[in-house]
Amino acid sequence: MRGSRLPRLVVWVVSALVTGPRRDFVLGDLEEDFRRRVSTGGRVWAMVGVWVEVARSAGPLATWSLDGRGGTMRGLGQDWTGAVRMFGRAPGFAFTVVATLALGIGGATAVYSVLRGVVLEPLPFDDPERVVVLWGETPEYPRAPLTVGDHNALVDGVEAFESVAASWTNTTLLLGGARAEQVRVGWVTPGYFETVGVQPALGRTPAAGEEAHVVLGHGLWERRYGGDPDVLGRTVDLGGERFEVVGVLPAGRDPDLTAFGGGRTNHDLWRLMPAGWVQGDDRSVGWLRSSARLAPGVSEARAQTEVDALMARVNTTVTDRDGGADLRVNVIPARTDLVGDASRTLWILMAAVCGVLLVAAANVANLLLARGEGRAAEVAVRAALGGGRGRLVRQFLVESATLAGAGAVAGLGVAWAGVAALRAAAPAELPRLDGVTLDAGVVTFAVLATAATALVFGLLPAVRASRSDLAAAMAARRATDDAGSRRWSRALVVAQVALSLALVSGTGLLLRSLSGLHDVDLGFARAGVLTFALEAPSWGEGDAEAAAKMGDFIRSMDAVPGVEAVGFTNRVPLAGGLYTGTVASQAMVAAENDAVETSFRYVTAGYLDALEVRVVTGRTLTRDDDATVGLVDELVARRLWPGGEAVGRTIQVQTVGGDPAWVEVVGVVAPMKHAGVEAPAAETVLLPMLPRAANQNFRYVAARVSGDPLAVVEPLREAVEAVDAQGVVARVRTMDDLFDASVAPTRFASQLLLVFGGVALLLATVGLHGVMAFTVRRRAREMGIRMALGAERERILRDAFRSGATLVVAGLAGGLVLALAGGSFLESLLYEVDARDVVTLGAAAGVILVAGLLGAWVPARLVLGIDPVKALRSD
Amino acid sequence: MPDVLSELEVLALAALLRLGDDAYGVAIRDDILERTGRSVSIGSLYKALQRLEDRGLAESEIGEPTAERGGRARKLLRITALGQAALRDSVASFRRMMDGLGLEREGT
Repeated sequence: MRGSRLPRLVVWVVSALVTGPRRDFVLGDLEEDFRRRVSTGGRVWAMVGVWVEVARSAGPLATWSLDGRGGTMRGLGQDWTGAVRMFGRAPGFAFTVVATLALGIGGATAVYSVLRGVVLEPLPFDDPERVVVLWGETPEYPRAPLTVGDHNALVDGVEAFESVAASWTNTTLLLGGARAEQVRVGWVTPGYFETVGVQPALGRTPAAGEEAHVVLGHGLWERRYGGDPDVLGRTVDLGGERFEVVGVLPAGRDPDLTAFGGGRTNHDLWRLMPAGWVQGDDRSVGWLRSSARLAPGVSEARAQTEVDALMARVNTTVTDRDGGADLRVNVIPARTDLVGDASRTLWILMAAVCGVLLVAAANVANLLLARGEGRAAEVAVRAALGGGRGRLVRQFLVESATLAGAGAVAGLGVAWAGVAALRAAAPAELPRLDGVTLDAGVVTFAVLATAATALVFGLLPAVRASRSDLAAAMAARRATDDAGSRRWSRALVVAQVALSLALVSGTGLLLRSLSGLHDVDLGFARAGVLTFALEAPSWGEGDAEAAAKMGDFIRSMDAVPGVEAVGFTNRVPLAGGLYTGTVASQAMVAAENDAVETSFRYVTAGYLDALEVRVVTGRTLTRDDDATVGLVDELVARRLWPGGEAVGRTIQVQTVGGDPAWVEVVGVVAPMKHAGVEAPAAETVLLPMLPRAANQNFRYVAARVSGDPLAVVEPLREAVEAVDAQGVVARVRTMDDLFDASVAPTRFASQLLLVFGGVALLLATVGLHGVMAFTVRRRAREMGIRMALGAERERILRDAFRSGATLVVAGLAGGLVLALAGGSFLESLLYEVDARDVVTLGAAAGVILVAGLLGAWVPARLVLGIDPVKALRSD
Repeated sequence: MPDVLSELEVLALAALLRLGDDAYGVAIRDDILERTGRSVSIGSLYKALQRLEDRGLAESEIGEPTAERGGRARKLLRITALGQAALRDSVASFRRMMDGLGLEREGT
């Protein structure tokens, strides 16, 4: 008789509530009852009956196992009911407390969930803690890609590594089908996917030697192939070469370890590097991103020791390495490498939001203390009548836990909204932001934060309550004030003011950095500039044909209405990307001194016009310049010819992989910010691009336009397609976008700190107001007596105000110490502002002082409302 | 100081006395419902029974599993001598409280 078995859900619910052998009796009873109901009243009636029974029994069953020893739970139930009733009678108080806690808990939870998703969550690889990246470190570059020779030395030379692999990235055109598309291609050595720990969701990865095979990223597979599993075995056209698709990678598991240039690149597809690329011991160019998988049970420290020992040996044999003979290879956990900078920002925010949570907890503690004060007599009477001390403490704790629980529920709502806001406001560079959700771990955090908060603000009043004795409490009611509790609540106000000052001054420092960043001299004019990558399937044979084609593109784009200047480069400013070489003056070559390593950029004349690059001396480039001329920026000029004239001199330049060439300096330009707004401009040599048009990995276009840059995107695309129907315009960004992205981490942090600082200040002011108002009311009798004895109201007002102002000043002093200590914590986010900046600190202190004094003055004025007669009668 | 029985505990002890060897969860609940019109939840009843057991006023044994209970055993309860004494005490003190109030006659 299937229909009369107990519903499975009922079994689950009851099993969750009751454990052990008891479960059997209860379920047996429920089932027997259920069957009887089915036979007498039918199934529906039985269902209703059994659920009513379960609902009524849930409470007793859940507390069953806790019951029996001294009626603890029953007592707690009474305390809880009492607490709810008490707060029902004081809804304003309860609301203030719950709202305060909701802000604190919600804010902390929201920031924690971002921190967890971005920083704490493991990477989506197999045994991700074993994946490390290997960056070279030279005096010039702290994070340099490795040369083939150094990579190969590591492949077999380190026992701590289970495997070593390398990758490299470029872009190419995916042809065939409706429209050509620019795709990012990851080139990897065999074994890369095993090293990183990502297996394909479909098919397999290319085996060693399968150089005409690709594995698709999940995104490209869904976007271009509609998630069709039959894509395996299909042929795709990459820039004219044909490849067979052998696999598809799983969603959200991109075996991408690049954090190079500050941003995360998501690859569209992956292929093997030709075997010849990574053979031998060539050390002229560093271009490999090497990664390794640690052998089981091996620590990074041990791997680093082995690598150091190996490199010490290797370095002695090396003479001609890019970046010098003294190379250190750093073994860095992949996650640290990927989220390094972001994690610092997030930890700072976490500290700030915990500060807010503390202020909130302190506030609530204060409010409860004030209430406890009002109830001191009640408590004392209960204690005198035999109410156990433990029982009283418990009642206070239950009350604060009730408030904290309500605060936590409201806080989760705040957190939910907060996460949505953070996701909207966070810089695009913040990796793994998609993974940020309010999950079980985050809710656990909220509960823990709540418990901690409840403990902090519940303990003080509880401890105080446990100490109260009848005589003192009754006396306190009569006389002026209870020194103990006043000391506590005053200390809390001081702590709040101090924390607020630290937060506000931190916010101030970030805001100043942000405004400093906006005033940075970029070396070019960013407004009205549009940039994009331009790719074509073929650029012809040799430099001449490629230059002719680039010329065609330039002319076609120049003719677009609204375009004032347009040109090519190999790297756009502010977008990062490394392209380096060495430069030496004639004198240095003659003296056989080491050449200087600098950044190199290839540019056309129109590019310099489009960016309005400032020419300091000499001239800019023209369309007809050949490979024998070039520009240097002021930094290079100063380095090669300190105090001397650069224009007219000859330099020997050598870019990575190229031959040395002599170039005449025809002009000196202002340094341009290539790596980002904050990073100092790197010494840069600018060479004409057209004479070297064929051998370019990247071709970017910059166009200066009148009016809205985005309005000319489509016309520019048409102009490109008019020259080559397969030409592709990709990664379209305005210079303003790039600027915003570059300052985003600082802006993100300052916006959030602004909110946190504001909330902390508000809470501190509310707290001060509360304490002052309470004190004045408590002392109304004393003040009434003083007035009756002829004291002036103004004088009493001044006294009351002074007692509040003292707290504010004490808090400011503590806050200064805190702000100075916390400032160094912020240092990494600051731009040309000292972490101990006096002006910022002073301004922050001023804001707090005004807010604090206002918070003291308003309630102090309650003094004026005291009626001596009433005050004296009030007992 | 002797334990004071709650009302539910008094009712449960009385049901145990009446049901004899056939006293278990649902049967006790039904007996209370039938005679007093009070609907007691299984959960509260088990907690009350547990308290009685803890104080030695009742004792229990595990019965045979039956098909009508989905193959689950029942927990059979029996009132102890101590339980009978406690029940008598309770009823006696209840009577004494009611004496002379003229309430008893009205009901009968």
